[in-house]
Amino acid sequence: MIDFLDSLTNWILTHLAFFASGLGLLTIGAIAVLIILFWDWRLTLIGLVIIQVGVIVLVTKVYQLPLVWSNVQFLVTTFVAGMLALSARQVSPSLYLQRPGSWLVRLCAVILLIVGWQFVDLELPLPLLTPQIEQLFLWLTVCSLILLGLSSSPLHTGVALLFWFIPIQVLVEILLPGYGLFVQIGMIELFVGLTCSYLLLAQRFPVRVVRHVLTDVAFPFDATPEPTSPRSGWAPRLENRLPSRASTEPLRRAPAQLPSRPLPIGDDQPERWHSDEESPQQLPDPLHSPSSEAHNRNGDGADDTVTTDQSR
Amino acid sequence: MMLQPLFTPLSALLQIQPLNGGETIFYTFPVLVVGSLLVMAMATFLLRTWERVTAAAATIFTATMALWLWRLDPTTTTQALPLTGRVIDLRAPFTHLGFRFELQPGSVAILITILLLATVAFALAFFISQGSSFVPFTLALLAGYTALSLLTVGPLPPPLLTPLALVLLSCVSAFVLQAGRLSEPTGPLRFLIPPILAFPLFLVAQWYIEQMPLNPQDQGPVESAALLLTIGLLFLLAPVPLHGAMPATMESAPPIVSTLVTLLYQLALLHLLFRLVDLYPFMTTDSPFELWLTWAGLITTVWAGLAAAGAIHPGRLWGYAALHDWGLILMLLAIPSPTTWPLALFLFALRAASMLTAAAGLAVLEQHIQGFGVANLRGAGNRLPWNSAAFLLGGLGLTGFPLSAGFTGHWAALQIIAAGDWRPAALVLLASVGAIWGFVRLTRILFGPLQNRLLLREQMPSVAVALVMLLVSVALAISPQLLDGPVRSAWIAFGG
Repeated sequence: MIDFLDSLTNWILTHLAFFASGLGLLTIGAIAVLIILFWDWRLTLIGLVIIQVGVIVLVTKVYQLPLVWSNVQFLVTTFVAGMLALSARQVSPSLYLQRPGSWLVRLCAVILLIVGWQFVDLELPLPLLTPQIEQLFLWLTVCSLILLGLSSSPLHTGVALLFWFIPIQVLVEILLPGYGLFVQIGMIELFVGLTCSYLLLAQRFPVRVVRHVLTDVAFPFDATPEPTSPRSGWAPRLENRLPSRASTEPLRRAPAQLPSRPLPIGDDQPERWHSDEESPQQLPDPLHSPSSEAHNRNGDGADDTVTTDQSR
Repeated sequence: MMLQPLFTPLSALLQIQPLNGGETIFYTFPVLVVGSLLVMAMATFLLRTWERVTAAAATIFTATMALWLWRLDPTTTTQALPLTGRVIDLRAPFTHLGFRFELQPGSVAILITILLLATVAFALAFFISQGSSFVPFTLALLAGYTALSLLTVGPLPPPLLTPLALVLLSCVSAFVLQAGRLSEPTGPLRFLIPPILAFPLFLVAQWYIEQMPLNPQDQGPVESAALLLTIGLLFLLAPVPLHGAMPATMESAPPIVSTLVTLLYQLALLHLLFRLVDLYPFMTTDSPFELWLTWAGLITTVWAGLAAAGAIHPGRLWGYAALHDWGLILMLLAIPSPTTWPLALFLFALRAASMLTAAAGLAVLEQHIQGFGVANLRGAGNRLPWNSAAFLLGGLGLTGFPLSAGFTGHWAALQIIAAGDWRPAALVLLASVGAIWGFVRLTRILFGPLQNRLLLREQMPSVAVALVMLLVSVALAISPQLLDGPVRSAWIAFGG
């Protein structure tokens, strides 16, 4: 495994030496901007790996950092990107809704960033770094902060934090070699990736659908379920909001304190919950669904249990 | 015999030394404490669906350990473990991968505090479910914080490695805070950010510290290191505008979980701050540390008070009240006076009591109401009076409301701040009025006309828990001197 990694890193260092040039620096910076601009989870993760590879090539050539350092960086970033990709695949419809505004807004943010970069002479006195690499790291850091500022999604927060880790790993290895700190930081990167992947899955919102109860008051009613949030396109941000967070608690367990048969008084309709991946068209008709009848042990039309559909 | 090859490296790792012909075995203290917490975490993880059983077991376990440490004679070096016939070497270090863990006299009080906080939280979780992951992950978290307090030697000085360890502990905390809920993960996510932003600054500061002896006349490295340490600490302390984690966490996470995680993290931060100031005194002399901390604390306090005045969500209101209290602690720590540290620890103890009281009440409210919309909350206090009272009194304690647990601490802190300059103290007082206003409004909502007539009344066990927490709060409000002994022990542990 180690031999394979060594040969892979050597191959990268040999064939992608282009990153250790001025054009390479610009490419790395441009990819960071494109990630903000496109805000697509696949491009983001691919871009993250490319940036990591570019930085590995660059600093290995310039500072002669050991091969094992490069191996660890490559391995960690690939693993974390893989973990995030596995989670993102499961929640990809909702990721489109979490974009921070339209592409025009992000374009404005990027233009502001570039204009600000030109006019404000940002300098960070990082020791032992060449000015070009220092500027690149500063750029990556600013992009990381912009990603953090624009996004509340675990995916992009995770990517932003990994952006932050990339220059830090280089800096620590240059400033404090011999302590093996890069391995410990690498392990922590894996933990951060794992946590963000978990939180990404936890963000999979359920969608609230009102189950109508057949009573004299409620009959006749429109059996069309409440419209759910659209899955793609440029949906307004507000539509992705759900009932207050604490109200999702009953999804995990049926509350012991609730009466077993909720009474349909006024607007207090029993509710059914289903995952956001469930198509509205597939919802069972509350009047004729066999499952509805199975739940309705008391024969009054009211569902006896507050059902949760989290299995998917 | 077949297990001998397996046992040999394990014994080498754990530093288990057979004595007296193999009959008596020495365990080192760090291995025993951290190892037993981890083993307990694994066992409770396997049984995590039985939440009450695991919560009860964890309560007994942490309480026993805290009691054992409480009664530990600091002069003894070895102690026999009951029922096992084995001896624990209290002073022996555990060294692995360049890290050295050992019991120091000062660590005991911190360990006891950590374990007692966890005991109360587990006991509350026995009555009010906080998610099946709470007990196992919290035990793992305790193991981490315990190891951190026992760390004496590392590749770098331990205070500079602590932020890196806090990143790891924040990752574990995120799992506990999310508690398996399919909900917005903003709180746990934001919890990760301050330590990740802060830890590189400590590592770069170490490089400057290494440069200092090379040219003692050059003040550049000293100033750079002091500046980096100050900025790093400010990131970690998370004042406004880095405060986002606290209100968001308290809004979305189970209340007892968010209380415990926040208190453990902030206790570790206070310990880190003390160690850094003690180890690197140039941090306060060669950087605007005190000025920045004062401003950070003041902005945090004022902002939290204003935000609390506008918050309707009980969790968010509670979060802003806690932030207001935290800002006051920061302001206090910026005052260079021998009385500030004991007072800060006293405030922290009152903060813990108030937060746990509020958490106990809020957890029951959350369980009954299922959603903190105003419509759900309206009149809920009529059906859940004791738990509503616990939440309100605990929350008001964080604002320094008279006759609440936090009043004495806030009043003493305001007096010390006003002795230097009355204007910040007046601003803090005004901000606390904002936070109190938030709670008054919530009281009107809670005890107004009942909206949901199906809301069940609170049950006897939860009433008993609320009563106990209320009694603790009231006792501390009436007799704050009850905390004299614990605060003195903690101050000694900090090295005072």
